[in-house]
Amino acid sequence: MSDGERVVRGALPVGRLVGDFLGSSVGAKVIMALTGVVLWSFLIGHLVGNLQIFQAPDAINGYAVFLHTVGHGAALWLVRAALLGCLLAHIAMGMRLTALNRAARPIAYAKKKRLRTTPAALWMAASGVLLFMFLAFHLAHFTIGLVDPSSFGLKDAEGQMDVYKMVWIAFKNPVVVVTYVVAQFFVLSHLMHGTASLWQSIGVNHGVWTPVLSGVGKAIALFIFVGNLAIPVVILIAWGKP
Amino acid sequence: MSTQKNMNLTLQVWRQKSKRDAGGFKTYQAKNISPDQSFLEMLDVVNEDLIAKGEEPIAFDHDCREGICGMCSLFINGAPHGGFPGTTTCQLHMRHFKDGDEITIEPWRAKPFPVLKDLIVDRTSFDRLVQAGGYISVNTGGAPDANAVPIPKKDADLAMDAASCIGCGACVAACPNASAMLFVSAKISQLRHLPQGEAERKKRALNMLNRADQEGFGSCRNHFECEAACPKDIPRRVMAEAYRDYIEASALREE
Ligand code: SF4
Ligand code: FES
Repeated sequence: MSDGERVVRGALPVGRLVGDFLGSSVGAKVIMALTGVVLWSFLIGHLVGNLQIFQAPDAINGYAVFLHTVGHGAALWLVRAALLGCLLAHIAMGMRLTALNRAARPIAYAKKKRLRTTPAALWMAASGVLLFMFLAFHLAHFTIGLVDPSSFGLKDAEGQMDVYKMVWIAFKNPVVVVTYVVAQFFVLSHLMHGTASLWQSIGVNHGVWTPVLSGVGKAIALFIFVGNLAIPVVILIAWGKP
Repeated sequence: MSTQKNMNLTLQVWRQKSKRDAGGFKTYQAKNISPDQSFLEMLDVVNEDLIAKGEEPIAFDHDCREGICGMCSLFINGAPHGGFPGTTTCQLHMRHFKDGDEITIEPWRAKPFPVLKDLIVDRTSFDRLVQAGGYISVNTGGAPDANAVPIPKKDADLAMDAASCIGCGACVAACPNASAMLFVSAKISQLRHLPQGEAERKKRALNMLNRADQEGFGSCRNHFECEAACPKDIPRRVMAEAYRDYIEASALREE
């Protein structure tokens, strides 16, 4: 069997091995699955942390201080860098595969039925792009403070950063709430396919366990959806505070 | 014999003179079609008509007409082979249609499957995929005794599931990304479960899957349209096995 013809060639042997794998469509798939798992785990952690908004202001403000100070502030940046790396790899592979796949069928069918796939699976690229746009807005809003600078960088009575107040002010604005609610549908759609299909991508297919794992994935996706929706919606309809 | 009456149908058929011709749909009437005819027999009737009128008959691939050769390849009403479970076009009977139905017939659509004429596509890219590793290397010599290598029933069954692939290409045709993953993986799976195929397992996955990329097939995104469209019910499991071999081969490659 000739072992010739590689898809990508690098100069160094190691570079070539890695390059071959990343350059192949199976490699791209594996990278998308693995980086997807990291990003998905982040969404779970993000939500669980944020649910502290429903406790006294001290809880989430203290949590924010903890995130910013743990490991002398280095941990936060390490995690951010890792997430950014995963995000960029995920997007790069997704874009490459999408382009290849478009090219693989230059002439479309006049009539095409959907047999077994789901709308969520067919809209992965679209939901991914929309998610990315939302992410940019979300970071500009709560991480960088560009959207509403007046509510950003507030301090509470103890001199801690007042995340609690910032979030409450943000979600008293119906326009902002609608943006977040709509975005959650893209998150749900993207996760519904991603979490169910990642096992297959890394070569795990078991008659019993794969459906169970996929089911658990979808359940977690729903939990993320409901939890993320709850924050803006509850704040919008709650009276009074802060 | 079915009790259903004969029917008249309207066909929208893709006609294309040659590889370079742009092609387009043409409308034909299929008259007095028996529900007991197969889809290909229905087209034979239409072609008889066209020949009588001095027109060029519709070109389509077929050979065995009993669901074993994999030649027939029509995209019928939005699905390969019509989208009926476990059915090739040649085994699709007209009783699935009703009088007055309009049926759209297209060729497989994929860059590595260029249309040669009308509904016939060139599937030699599949041959090249098999050449890339869909075999075992055996030196010539006396034929080994049957049963000289005992194979557990479970492994034989797994291999046979995959070996039932007839190479029709419906998986590619159905895939939103025109990926050949189900076909390639069927070959990989068929051999990997047998001791004769084990020796070249990793190399085979590497070479065949890389070849699929080079041929211009799309990449799998786990839609599983292939599995639904496959007339031989090749399961998605075979693709996971192929990925596993590919990952292992990539991680352990000694060069
Ligand atoms: S896997 Fe199924 S659909 Fe694909 S070529 Fe083989 S028999 Fe045809
Ligand atoms: S003609 Fe042989 S499988 Fe249909």
